[in-house]
Amino acid sequence: MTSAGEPGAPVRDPALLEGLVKSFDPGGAELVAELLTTFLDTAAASLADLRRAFGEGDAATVHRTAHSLKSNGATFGATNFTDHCRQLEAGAKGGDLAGLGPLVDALEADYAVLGPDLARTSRELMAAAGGAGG
Amino acid sequence: MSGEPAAVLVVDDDPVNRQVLTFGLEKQGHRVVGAADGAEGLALLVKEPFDAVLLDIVMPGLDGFAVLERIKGDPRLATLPVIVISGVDEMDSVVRCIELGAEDYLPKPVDPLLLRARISAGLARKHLGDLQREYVEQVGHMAEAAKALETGRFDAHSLAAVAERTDALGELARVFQRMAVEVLGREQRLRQQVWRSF
Repeated sequence: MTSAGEPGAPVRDPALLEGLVKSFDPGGAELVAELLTTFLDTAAASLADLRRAFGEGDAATVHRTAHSLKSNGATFGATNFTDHCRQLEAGAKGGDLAGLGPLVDALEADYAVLGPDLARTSRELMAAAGGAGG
Repeated sequence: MSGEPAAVLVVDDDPVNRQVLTFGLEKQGHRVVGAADGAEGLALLVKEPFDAVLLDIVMPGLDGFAVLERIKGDPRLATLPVIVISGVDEMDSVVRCIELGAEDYLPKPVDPLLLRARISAGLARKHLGDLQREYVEQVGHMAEAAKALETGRFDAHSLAAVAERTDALGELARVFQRMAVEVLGREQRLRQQVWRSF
């Protein structure tokens, strides 16, 4: 079920963020840095919500939260994170959370790597944009 | 026209998605207002005018389907183009939204170039629809004016807005106004002659 989380697989595809920066140019680096900040400000709380909802058997919240995180992951090219969200969303859709525990664990493990990676990228983008965040 | 700045409402519970859409639309020169859920979106729609709505489907509380149903069920909002935002794996939801009256859909993650194309096309269709409704309404004014002339209640000012048009309908309204004034003048002269003959 956690097939996307192969050891050694890249955290994310950098081409996605590069494309996003270009599509927002001029000023794309600063805007994407802002997007990353928004994600980093909310993702930990979303994962905590997801963990809590999973513990309480609240499949609707697991489904919805995985759906949102999946979309964010796809925006930033976070391949494993997105795939685990997709599997979790699909699994929770029917209302049965049985067997989804490893996916919740995998998602948290993905974010433990993805979060610092995106934080670093955000700082680099701010530096490139000449912002105070560099 | 499609290239003109428009007011766009973005209804999405996810702050990152809302921001991506907002940045993309603002880069095109549009004014964007964000709503974090369906209820807030509907409240904004009745409070201020918008030219288009970008609507997420999966949201807590009122989801995209419920919001869409309310928009299409409200005569004041029914003509507003709604573009639903969905994951590529949610085609069944997209189909349901199109059946409920959504104009188009935008796959997530949102591609800013596709966003530009879809919103421009939606706004252009809305503009054409608005023109068509205005045309039909003004043809109705012409019909009312003809009835009023028949019953002696014609007021030339009632066609002022139609007569300002630069197309054939405007020309028709101007000719009708002149003819109506002439007819009314003749009638008045005739009445005076009849009155004098007694």
